[in-house]
Amino acid sequence: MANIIEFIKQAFVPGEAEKPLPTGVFHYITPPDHPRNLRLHLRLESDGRGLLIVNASTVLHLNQTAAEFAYHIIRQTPKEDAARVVQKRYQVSYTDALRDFNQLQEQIDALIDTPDLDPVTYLNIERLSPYSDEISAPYRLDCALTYQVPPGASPDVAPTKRVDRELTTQEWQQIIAKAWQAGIPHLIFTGGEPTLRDDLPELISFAEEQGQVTGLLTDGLKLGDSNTLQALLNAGLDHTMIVLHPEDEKNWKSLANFSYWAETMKEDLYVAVHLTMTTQNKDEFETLIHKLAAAGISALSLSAADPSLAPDLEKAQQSAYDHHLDLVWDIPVPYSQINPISLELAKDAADSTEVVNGAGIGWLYVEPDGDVLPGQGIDHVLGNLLTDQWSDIWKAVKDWRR
Amino acid sequence: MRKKLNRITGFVLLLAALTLISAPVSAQTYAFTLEQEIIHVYWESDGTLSLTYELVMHNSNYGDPIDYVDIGMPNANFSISNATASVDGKPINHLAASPYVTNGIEIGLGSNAIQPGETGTLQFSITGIRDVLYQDSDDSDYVSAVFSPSWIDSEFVSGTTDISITYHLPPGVTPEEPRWHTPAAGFPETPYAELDPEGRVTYTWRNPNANGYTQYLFGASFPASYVPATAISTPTFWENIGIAPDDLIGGVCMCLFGSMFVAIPALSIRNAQKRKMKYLPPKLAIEGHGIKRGLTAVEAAIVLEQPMDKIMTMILFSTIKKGAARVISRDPLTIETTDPLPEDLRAYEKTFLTAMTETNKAKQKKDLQEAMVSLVRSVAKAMKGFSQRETRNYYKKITEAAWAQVEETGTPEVKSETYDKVMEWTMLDDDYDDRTRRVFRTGPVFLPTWWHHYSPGTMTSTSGPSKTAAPTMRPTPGGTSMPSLPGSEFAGSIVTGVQDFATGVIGSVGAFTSGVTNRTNPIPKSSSSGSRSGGGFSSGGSSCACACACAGCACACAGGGR
Repeated sequence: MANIIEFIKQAFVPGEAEKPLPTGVFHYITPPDHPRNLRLHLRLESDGRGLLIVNASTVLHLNQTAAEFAYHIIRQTPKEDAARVVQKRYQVSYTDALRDFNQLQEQIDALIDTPDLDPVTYLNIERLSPYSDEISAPYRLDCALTYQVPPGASPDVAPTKRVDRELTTQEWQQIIAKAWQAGIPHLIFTGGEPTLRDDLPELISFAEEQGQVTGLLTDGLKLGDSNTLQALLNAGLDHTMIVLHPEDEKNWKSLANFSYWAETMKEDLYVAVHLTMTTQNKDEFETLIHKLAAAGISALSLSAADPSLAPDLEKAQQSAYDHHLDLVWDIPVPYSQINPISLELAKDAADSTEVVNGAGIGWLYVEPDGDVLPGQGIDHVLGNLLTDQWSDIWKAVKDWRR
Repeated sequence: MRKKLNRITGFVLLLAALTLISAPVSAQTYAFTLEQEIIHVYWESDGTLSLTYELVMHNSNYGDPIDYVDIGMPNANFSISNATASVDGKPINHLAASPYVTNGIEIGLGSNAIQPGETGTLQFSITGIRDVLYQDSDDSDYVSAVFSPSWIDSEFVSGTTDISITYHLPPGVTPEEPRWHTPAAGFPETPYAELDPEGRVTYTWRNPNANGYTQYLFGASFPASYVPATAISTPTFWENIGIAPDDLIGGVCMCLFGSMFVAIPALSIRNAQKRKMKYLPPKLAIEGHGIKRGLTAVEAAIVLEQPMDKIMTMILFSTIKKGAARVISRDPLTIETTDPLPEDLRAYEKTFLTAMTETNKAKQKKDLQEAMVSLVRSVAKAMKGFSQRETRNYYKKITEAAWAQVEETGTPEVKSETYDKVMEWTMLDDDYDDRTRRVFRTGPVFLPTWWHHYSPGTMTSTSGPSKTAAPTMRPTPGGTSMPSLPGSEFAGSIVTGVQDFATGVIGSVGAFTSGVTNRTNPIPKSSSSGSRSGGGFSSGGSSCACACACAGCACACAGGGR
């Protein structure tokens, strides 16, 4: 009877209102024996909305309900349980919650399984211009571990800014941890030449253990050493981009026959190549791209050292498509802002409202001493990620973007 | 403007028949204070209930105008014709069944809506609500009358409210007969008792620091003899299990009132509902760019999923126009290429020409499939990150603009010249064959310079193997002579070009297309996780409803394999 009376009393007590799920970053990776190679990162924002990043590339913005379902997907909650939890927290029936859960799961499955499927036309997913929504942290952090370059390398390959010191391993780990806590799911280690840091595998491993996706931007020379390559793979490196300098004799000769590329690509590693077009090498691009495609490269990044090369860059872009290569851009490569897609969008900007600039929102750039820039080559210090609070840095980012 | 989803819902609960009320489901656009709420509750001698409300509302400067108010009734046993309402003394005509509150009445303030920054007084009254009394379970000679006045969703109302509620007991009830129930917290335990102008006993509870968003309960019992026995409902099963009201709300309540227990389950649900968050269907938005500009007409044809035979005919036209090839024979379709090839050929044009010069028909067909696979894949790469829908719409507009240019030109010379420039874009039109015939139905068409490379023999003689009619030489306004064809003949030649390609080169368009789409858009492989019922990931099989449902997937769906 006491229970009944308590129940009755409770009936008149308003009770605490349900609230959105707490903020945080949640990570899912398919098991090694799973046929899929999938990584999901869900970032729950303070207002209940979510950001779901599929394989560190496809960015989905979720309303509060979708974010709650995605949370259960990542936590592998059985769908019936998930629907029941949502039904208890929201003004929705179990049946409707289960139906919506299934539908969301199907949408995400379709995005993963059929990447060519137009999500707007076939999956009822809205399109959002890149970097146009309010978020609490960028999608990616580019970490310039060092500005050192290999002996004899052209000084052009390193960023012009020199720093007083390089952070220690522990300091970089602090930065990586801070980035994870802020909800940044993707790191790219760059430089200089990041493979000159002996602690690179250790840093990759640290980030991977937290749940972050890691990438490497390198001249590729050290990847020819199987010990180095294995150390990086064992640390969990997810992808690498080899910055090719055809005009650099040493670099080019060692890579020209592409034999070691084939070895590299046998591994479980996504390999892309970057080419910087110059007035000297522009005529070789067709041949270069053909060779890269024949070597088995699946993705290519292109940039030009001079805006006047835009028409040639456009031809190179078409050549990449004709060779069925994925084009990637917005990577901290040399002259990254002069890439085919940016030029294409800028050309179209006159009759389009879409202006794309991901620096400061899609990614941030950390110099070897911890200073934060909006992007590579944008000489505006927003704070120091080692010493400053993330909230202060993010505020500075937002002020800068304004 | 009526805001269906943003209205204020004021709730009247009478515990005799509590209504379960759904809250508004939209964003918070109302923001006001309820300064005063005066309620008179008349327990009539016929066992019915009459109510009057006076709500003084001050709208905030940033809130939407208060244009609708919904007030819930205790049950369905009332008539809207017995209700009246006014705002600041101005009668309100719009009284209707509420679409939002079960057993509620919708009051549409119309032009008397309370504007932002203004204060207004809403008065509402209703008579004749039946079935509102219950037998007092502690004293079968008494009836229980429990009432909860209106409250408003806390999303919309803020601040304190001076609430005053007065019970008017049935005429004849003497001051010593009725018993009050312990009121809601914050109200004086002992009501102020007096006689109203009609001599009826009244109980008044008042709390100047109450609020408009909390539910308050009030109750009284009086001898059943003052109302008809037929107006009194019987006790519920809750009474039979012996739960005492003191356990429920404490205090000095003198009697049990079964009606309270009817209300409890509903209240419990309502409170739980109130605690829950509002549910909007899950929604995804993907980051991506809009229109992919800069595609050639052939590439746009892939995006628009045009039939394969048409696309290859377009490539044939483009290579002829570039001077890379000429047709030797239309039946069977045979071409020869120039040597060297022009430098501005696209990759798909080169592979097409290579395939077309293959003499082994089976290999030619296979090579053409290979060329189309390559084309589809390169377009898919180019489309990556861009919206297919927006790109399709963009190229449909270009197609329409191309036709408009041709159709709007006056003289045959200019029309022919214009068509030559935009011909490949007009071919993207799903209705291009009929439209070509319509546009060129009358008048001559001056042939473009490359025409003789497409239609061999047309420039040299009036007889021979050509399926097309021979042109005649017509003087142009400039004084020169140009070859021309009757419009209908010209249109027929363009249109039959596609048919020639289908019948003479690739055979069955459907089979040919399947050979392409099977490779460009294979059915995803299923995995062992596909049948898992948890929140994991299934794999494949469920996403692509149609073989052509991909960004870079050309197929014969739309054209039915013409």
